[in-house]
Amino acid sequence: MRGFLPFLLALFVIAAVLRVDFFFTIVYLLSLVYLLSRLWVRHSIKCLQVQRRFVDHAFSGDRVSVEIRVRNPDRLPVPWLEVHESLPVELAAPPFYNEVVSLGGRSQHSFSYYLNCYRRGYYAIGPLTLQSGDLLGITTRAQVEVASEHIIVYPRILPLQELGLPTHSPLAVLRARSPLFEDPARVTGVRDYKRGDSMRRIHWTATASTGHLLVKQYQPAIARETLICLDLNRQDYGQRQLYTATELAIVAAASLANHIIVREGLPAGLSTEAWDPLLDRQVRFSLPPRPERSHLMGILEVLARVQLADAGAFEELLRQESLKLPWGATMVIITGRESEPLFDIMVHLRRSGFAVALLLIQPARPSPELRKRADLPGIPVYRIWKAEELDAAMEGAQR
Amino acid sequence: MSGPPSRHGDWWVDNVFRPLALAIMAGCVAASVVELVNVYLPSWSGLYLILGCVLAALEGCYSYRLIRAKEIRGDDLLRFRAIELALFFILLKMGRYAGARWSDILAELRTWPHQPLNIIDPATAFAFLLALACWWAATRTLEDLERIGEPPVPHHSYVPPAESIANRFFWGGGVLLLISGLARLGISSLLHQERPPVPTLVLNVLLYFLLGLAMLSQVHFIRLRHQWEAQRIRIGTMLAGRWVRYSLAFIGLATILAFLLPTGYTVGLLDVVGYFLFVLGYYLSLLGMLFTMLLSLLLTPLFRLLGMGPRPAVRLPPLERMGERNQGEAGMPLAWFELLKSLLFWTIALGLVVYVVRSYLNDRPELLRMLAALKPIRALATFLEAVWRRLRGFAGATRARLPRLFRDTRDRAAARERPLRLLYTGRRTPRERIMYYYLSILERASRLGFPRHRAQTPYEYEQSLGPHLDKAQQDMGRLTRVFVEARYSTHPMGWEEEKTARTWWQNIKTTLRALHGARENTDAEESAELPEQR
Repeated sequence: MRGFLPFLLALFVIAAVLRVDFFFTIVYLLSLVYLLSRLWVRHSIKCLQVQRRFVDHAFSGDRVSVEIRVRNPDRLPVPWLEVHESLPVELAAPPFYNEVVSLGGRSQHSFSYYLNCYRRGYYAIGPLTLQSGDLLGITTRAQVEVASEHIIVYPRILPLQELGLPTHSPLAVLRARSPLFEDPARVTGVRDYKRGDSMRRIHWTATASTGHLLVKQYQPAIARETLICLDLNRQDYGQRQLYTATELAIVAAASLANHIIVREGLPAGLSTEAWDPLLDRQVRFSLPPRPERSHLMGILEVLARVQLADAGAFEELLRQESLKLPWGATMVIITGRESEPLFDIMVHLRRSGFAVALLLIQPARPSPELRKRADLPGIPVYRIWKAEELDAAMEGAQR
Repeated sequence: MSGPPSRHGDWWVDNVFRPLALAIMAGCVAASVVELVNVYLPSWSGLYLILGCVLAALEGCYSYRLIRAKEIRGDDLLRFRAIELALFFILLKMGRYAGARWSDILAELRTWPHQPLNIIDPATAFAFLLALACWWAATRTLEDLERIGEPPVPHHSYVPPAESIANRFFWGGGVLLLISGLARLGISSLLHQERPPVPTLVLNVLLYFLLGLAMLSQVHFIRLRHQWEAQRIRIGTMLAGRWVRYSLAFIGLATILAFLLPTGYTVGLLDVVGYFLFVLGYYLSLLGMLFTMLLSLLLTPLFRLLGMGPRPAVRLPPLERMGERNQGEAGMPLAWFELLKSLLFWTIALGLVVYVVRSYLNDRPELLRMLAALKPIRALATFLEAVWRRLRGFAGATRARLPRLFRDTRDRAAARERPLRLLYTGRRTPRERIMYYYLSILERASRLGFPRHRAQTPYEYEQSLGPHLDKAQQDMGRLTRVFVEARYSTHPMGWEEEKTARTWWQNIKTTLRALHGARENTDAEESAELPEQR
């Protein structure tokens, strides 16, 4: 209201010139209306308490309810309050939630809305903007912002047959449920204790002498550990199916990890180099194989948020990861492109005593030379084309 | 006029509250006009005019609605409006005759065929114009209310409807205040500044402003609701009801507070400021006179020495007594209570206005920037900044100089005491004695023309005095070192050190004596000052 100030000053001058006492009351009235409006708005919005409640982990296909509770602990009411919550476009349409309410003194109001988690990812919910103003429109509006929170949507987990993979453990050579991995009679050394290690493995003498927990390392009879090596290098996927192929690769990695840990009770790990939106930089994730379900959730969390990156050579990653694995471990390589260097490193790994399997996700048509090269002895190669599930998931998200 | 009719609001607010509020506000303005006319024409009864204005505003609201509902346009609209105006005129004419005798009315009616201009007499014409203004204001307000929410027109002269309503309310309020004030004072006494204040409650003015504020609240609500609807924001079900309740409570509270604040004052703002400036000036001139008097007393012997005879007594300017200045019109002293009351009033009134102006400008930085760019304001700001800088510099300099002044005064007082201290050394500790020896040398050397400058350290002084001491130059160096130790160290100093220092002191003293053999007698006195050996 631009004319308010000149009007007030004019009234003050009129009152001072005419010297009618009551006119000063009118000047007071208008000044107080302005002053109290300003104080009221600024005070009431500062007092507001906001709580956002939701489950911050969801599986693809879930519908997550978000509840926002705005509480006014003060005696003064909030005449009007505009609530604006920004939402990720992948989870909600329209990508915001708006409502205007009036909050009485010492009262609260709850809003709720749903997020449709069709796409895996790490999403920011918010920020929540609260805006309020006076009743007459003579003062400027006051605004506060509540910080955003995050939700992780895990990737889809599909049965292996839907991905075109064999239902038995496709990769490991032995299929026994509880195989003897290591020979306890042949201790090769000690290493630091890791969560999940059996108490029987603790080397008490060495622990006592060093002061920290150490466990015995046995000579492996054969390792049943599986490391899933996921290639998220942008150059390793075809440009046309960049998005669908990478999503399918991530779904394949998640499904495999789930199958190995949940179905077979065997340890599985993950290694990938990708863009992490949480840290906002490129990160190499290296989760060593472990059999616990909590570890599976860790793998899924990583798979939920990783994005394509301009990473270094995938073969280098494979080489470095193989150094950390015990002899006989299985390496599942998930990539979108066959190449000479890849086959070279696979042969090298095979000769080093690792079981290697290759999952090619929507690969481009290879050259005849490469096709010949692909028939590597002792290395199973699977080509995954099924994008129907993902397409269905996309359509669901768009709906 | 292309906006849709109000379809959201409460039926009561749309059809009863708004037209009624507009009509009453129009009536409030008309009441003040009638009051003003009555000052010059006391016999004129303007009640019909007030009623006419109320009815005109009401009619304006409902006829606008009717035209919108029936979609009356073109010639039909003109015909409709013409009938409306004719009806106004007839009603006002009838109102003018209310209370008059039938014979008078008939006599006037008979003159109409011969003199048609008699139909439009000045009173009716004035009433008609006022009613027309009220009708126009009500119609425009309703039109603006319906235009709220329409997209703005990209034209430089475009004023948003909400702004237009607010401006109309402000203008009406200003005019109302002016007319009401003039009605109470009369135009002749307007220039008479010494007149007493008017302590009356003006009900129609209060009613106008209360209703106006309630209207502004409604306008703001409509504006926001349109915005929210355009953005597809869900609006809480209780918002409209609470808005009305909170608005009324808020305006009521502000009114109560406004009535509690002081409004009456007997001393004007300039008088209050002038009084305080006068008090300040009075005490400053008193101080100046005292200073002049002291200076003349000190300089009188000097003038006498110079052979200047006694001057005629200086006639000091007469000082007006505080009480003489501080008198009201009737010659009575101004009551301090009245002054305090006026001061309180001006503080509150100006404080409120200044706060509102300040926060208003703070909320609108673009306006502040625009104002700051104006040449006179920029010049004033530069001048004030310069004054402020000067004041700060002056305060800083005073802060730095005052402690030095006190220290110098203290040093001078100490210096005056020093000869006495040099005479008495009996109960001194070894440390004090060593210091005494050194200071004694300083005193003697000073008398002999080798004073120590204030900026010189003991070692620097030793460098300047040493070459004059011949054999005792080394002793002076040693005495200086032991003095520095005695002056600045905290460890205890024994009688052995004192004894050695005394030897050096005596050697130096002898040398100084040799330098100025004419002072043999003084040496004897100095020997008498020698402290007793332990």
